[in-house]
Amino acid sequence: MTKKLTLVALFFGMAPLGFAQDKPTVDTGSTDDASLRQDNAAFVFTESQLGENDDVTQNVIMVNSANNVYTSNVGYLFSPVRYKYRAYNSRFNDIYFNGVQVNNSENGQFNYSTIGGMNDATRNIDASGVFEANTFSMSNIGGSSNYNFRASSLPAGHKVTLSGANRNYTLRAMYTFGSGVTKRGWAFGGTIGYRWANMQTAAVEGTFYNSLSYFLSLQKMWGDRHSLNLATWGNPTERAQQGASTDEAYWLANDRQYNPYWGYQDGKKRASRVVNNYEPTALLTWDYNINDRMKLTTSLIGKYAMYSSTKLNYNDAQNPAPDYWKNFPSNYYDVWDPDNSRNWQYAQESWQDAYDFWTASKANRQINFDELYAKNYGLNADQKDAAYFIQAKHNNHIMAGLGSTFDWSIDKDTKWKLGLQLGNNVGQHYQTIDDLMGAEYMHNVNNYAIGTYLPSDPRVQYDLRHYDGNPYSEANRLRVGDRYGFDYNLWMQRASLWTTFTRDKGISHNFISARIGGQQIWRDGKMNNGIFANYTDANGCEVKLSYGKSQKARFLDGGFKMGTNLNLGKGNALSFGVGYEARAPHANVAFVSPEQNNNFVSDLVNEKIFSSEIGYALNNRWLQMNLTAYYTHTYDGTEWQNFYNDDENSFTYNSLTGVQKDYYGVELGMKFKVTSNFNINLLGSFAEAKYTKNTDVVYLLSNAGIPQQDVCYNKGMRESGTPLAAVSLGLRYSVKGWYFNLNGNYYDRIYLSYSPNMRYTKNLSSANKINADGSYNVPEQAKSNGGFMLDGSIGHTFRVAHHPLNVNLMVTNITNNRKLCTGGYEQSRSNYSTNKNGQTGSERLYDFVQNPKKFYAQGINFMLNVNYRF
Amino acid sequence: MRNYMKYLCGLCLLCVLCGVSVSCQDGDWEPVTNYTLWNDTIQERNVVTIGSLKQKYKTAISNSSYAKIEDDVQIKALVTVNDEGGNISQQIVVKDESGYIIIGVTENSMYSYVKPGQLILMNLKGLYIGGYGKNAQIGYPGKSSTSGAERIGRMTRYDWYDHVNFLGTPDKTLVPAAIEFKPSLDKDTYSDYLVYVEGTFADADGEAILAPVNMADAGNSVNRTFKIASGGTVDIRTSTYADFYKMVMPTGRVRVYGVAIRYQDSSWQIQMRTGDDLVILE
Repeated sequence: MTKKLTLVALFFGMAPLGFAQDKPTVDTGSTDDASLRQDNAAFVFTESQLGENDDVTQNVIMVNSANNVYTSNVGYLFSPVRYKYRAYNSRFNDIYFNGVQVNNSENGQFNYSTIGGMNDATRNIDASGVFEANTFSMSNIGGSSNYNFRASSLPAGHKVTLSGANRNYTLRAMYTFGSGVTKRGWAFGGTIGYRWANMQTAAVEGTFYNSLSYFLSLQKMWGDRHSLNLATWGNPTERAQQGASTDEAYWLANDRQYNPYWGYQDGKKRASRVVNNYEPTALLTWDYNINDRMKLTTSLIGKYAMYSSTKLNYNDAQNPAPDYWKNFPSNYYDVWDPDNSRNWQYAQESWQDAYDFWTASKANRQINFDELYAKNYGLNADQKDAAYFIQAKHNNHIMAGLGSTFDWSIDKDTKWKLGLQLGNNVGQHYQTIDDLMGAEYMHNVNNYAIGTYLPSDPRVQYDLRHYDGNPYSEANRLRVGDRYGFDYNLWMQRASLWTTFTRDKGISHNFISARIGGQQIWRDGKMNNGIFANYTDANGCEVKLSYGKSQKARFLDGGFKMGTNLNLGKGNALSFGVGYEARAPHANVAFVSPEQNNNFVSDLVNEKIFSSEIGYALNNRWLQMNLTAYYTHTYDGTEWQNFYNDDENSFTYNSLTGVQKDYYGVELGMKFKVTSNFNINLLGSFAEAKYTKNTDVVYLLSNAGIPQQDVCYNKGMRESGTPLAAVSLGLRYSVKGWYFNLNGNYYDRIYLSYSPNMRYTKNLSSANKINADGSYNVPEQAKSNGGFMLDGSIGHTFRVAHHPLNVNLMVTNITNNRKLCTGGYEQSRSNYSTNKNGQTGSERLYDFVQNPKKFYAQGINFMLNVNYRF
Repeated sequence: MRNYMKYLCGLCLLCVLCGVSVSCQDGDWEPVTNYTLWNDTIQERNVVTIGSLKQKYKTAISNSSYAKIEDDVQIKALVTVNDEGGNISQQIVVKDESGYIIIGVTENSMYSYVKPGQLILMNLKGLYIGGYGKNAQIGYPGKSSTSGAERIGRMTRYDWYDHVNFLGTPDKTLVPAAIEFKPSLDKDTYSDYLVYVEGTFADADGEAILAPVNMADAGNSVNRTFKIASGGTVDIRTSTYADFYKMVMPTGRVRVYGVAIRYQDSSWQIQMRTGDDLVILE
């Protein structure tokens, strides 16, 4: 990390030397509401929008269409609860940089943290809603945004920003420079920023944040005809994560920000989950104004993303997690049924002992690294593998993309756009040993499979290429840095063509868009997995079950969208939109068990999406209003999860196919201009987003090679981690360079991520969740309690040496509501033990259904920003 | 030129500041070498023999019940068997000059730090002693999750860490050699001994494994009848969670090592420790 930072700092420092000739035009800063918000907020994304918080598995989704009061405000206002627009997965939100798509090819999502810290460079956004025509794509159902990274779009001048906060990071510094467009047609700009928090200052104990951001853009224009822009950016980041835990843990710790992902080592705090992420990117853009009405924009992008995240793991040992369920007092005494016959005096004593232990000291509630080292040393003496170690999971990507758009204004009412997107991505997925924690070595052995197979069975080997018959041979000892477990690449190649035709006629503004595309996916395994070993078939051909290239899955997809906006006069407008498309599955759901073998999910088909929307808008002198109702229906979707399945005593890989969902709701945004400097904003949404059909599932156990089929009774389960109902009342007042904002937000209907295997037929039967009529008694989905949050900000613009100095203080959760659960997930363990033959054993005293893992909103928190433009 | 120089200086300064002030917060961690899991403050003060302990609490042991150890007494004993292999789970066997006893602890993979030949000094006050199938055990009262029967169970690992001190380093040579098992061995005397027995598996057919899951009892284990070459039979008991539960029973003559566990008054069981305890003789 230090080496990367030094190189970047040196490069960035040298770059401006090339432009020491022309005088820039200084931006003195405007004072209208939107500009003030941007300037004085000094950041576009909140931490939760960056998708970094709390070990979330899905990024939030942002739609920032400036035409709509609701969409232009909701992402920012509701970000403390990680609001997702219409509860869509972020793969339904397309992001472009200078016209080339940059969503992760494997999962379709865009990770905003890769452009975090580049606030000033990411202000210029052309965002479009679901049924808005744009200049760069057929908009996705979650909207689309195109960031302008041209140097000429950066405001001329200098800007220094210093910030202090008690959030993910504690301190932030940024410097931005823009040359503006010089007489010779050059423009240069860039930004460098640094965000920092250590374990003593971070808002969540046991986390830290260390991130440098840089952005550099150089543009050359040849008159009004051609422009060439080269931009590069990166965001080397090292941060420690927070984990969710149960209400019991939060109660015992007396802290709803309790974080189980850290502990003490030799008296010092150490995090067990550390993310290192760096995605250096280069973007070359050619703008060609063919004539007054035709324009061609072509961008070429290349990126090498390096992502790794560590985790404390263990082999054939006591689970080291401090919040492992057996450590809790409620494991000894049934707190949910005091009349349970097993609640005898010794159960009470044990409960008390566990409670006393948890509450005696903080160290008792965290990972005891010293103990883990001591156990590893004990194993060294017997020449045995590490029992505890830190593993690093790597997800690197090498990506190249091309986006080209031809834009033709046929006449003043008619426009036609045609675009091409090409993408090639190889995802490199492997696991390494990051720290052996005092142990000397380990072997590349599948410990989940020992127990199904003997240790001497080659099927317990992760990689038969190095197997010499001795599972624990000296020659095959792995040390720090070595790869183990899995190693494979996923390839995705994609090409798509899109077009949009817009026509204004009378009071109507109409558009129709269409796209068609092709995609191919394949896996290239780098380990010959023992359970899925390559073999030679009857014809003498090698069947590459795990090592080598898989077959290629090819898809043809496409769709259309159309909409109209009717200007009814006096500021009234109606809009309608409808669309239908088929989308190829992403690589991350295409394989049954990508860590183990080359097999595709059976019945892998395009997902179909029907979308529709109707809206009313009013815009007059005192009121801007948008009221929208929408309905989206998806079917033939594919989802994939992996987790430890307690009933099977194994890690499992689960593919759900035939997924069918409905999303519908109503959104309202109102902005009352009471006076020229006083606004009242009202935002509200009520939505539904749920599975409408039970889903077929195929799951593979990591300790055996036989896929199991079942049905997941997930009909009625809802999208999680976002409020499905929210309302906000905001007051905005500005006077003489001062501005004040106060927003009261209420969130409700936040569902936690459901556990699929708890709703498999097999598990429902084992748990005896069968009604008298033979139907299954499917567990209700865990849900968060709703809550209120009050946010405010105050700021002022001063003049210092004739230049604006903006000071802005934002305070979130002024009422310190720490009871608001913002998300989490159900545990995938059963309330009963199971035997190796799959039969139900005894009931556990610990109740997993009552103990989902949750995240809670941070209490009162603030950010103070000071920025100076000169 | 002057304008650019001023921002260039500022920019370079910022870069330099970032470069020198930033450092990895999760760098290389130094190994921890001085941490002990056990309570090294425990000193010898009132050591009693295992035999006298079992004598004092013989009623609780023989009734398969339990009793709290109220006296401030200690045992000083040698570890003979740990839980390596997964067949003997969450317990260890210790001995002194007077006899053997099991210590039950709710902890997996104790073998990482509890080694055969390790001498331990253990404070017993506050712990419990009882009989599991009349087999003496130190632990904590538990209730069967299936039958509801109250019996001696296992102490938490925190109680174990708090009550035990490890003396010196393990010396395997101190562990007594296994004795030859005979069904006539006195159960009160020889329970928990390390034994060996020679003979054949009654159900060996070249394919049958030690512990098929469909034959497991409520304790998740399978008893395989073993015909002793010198006469009689004994059960070889293997858990379906043992690493070696899928070992095929050899059809020929074998020697089986393991811990002799009494079950009530009626029977013996021999529990192998690891797969290495099964030695093929022919």
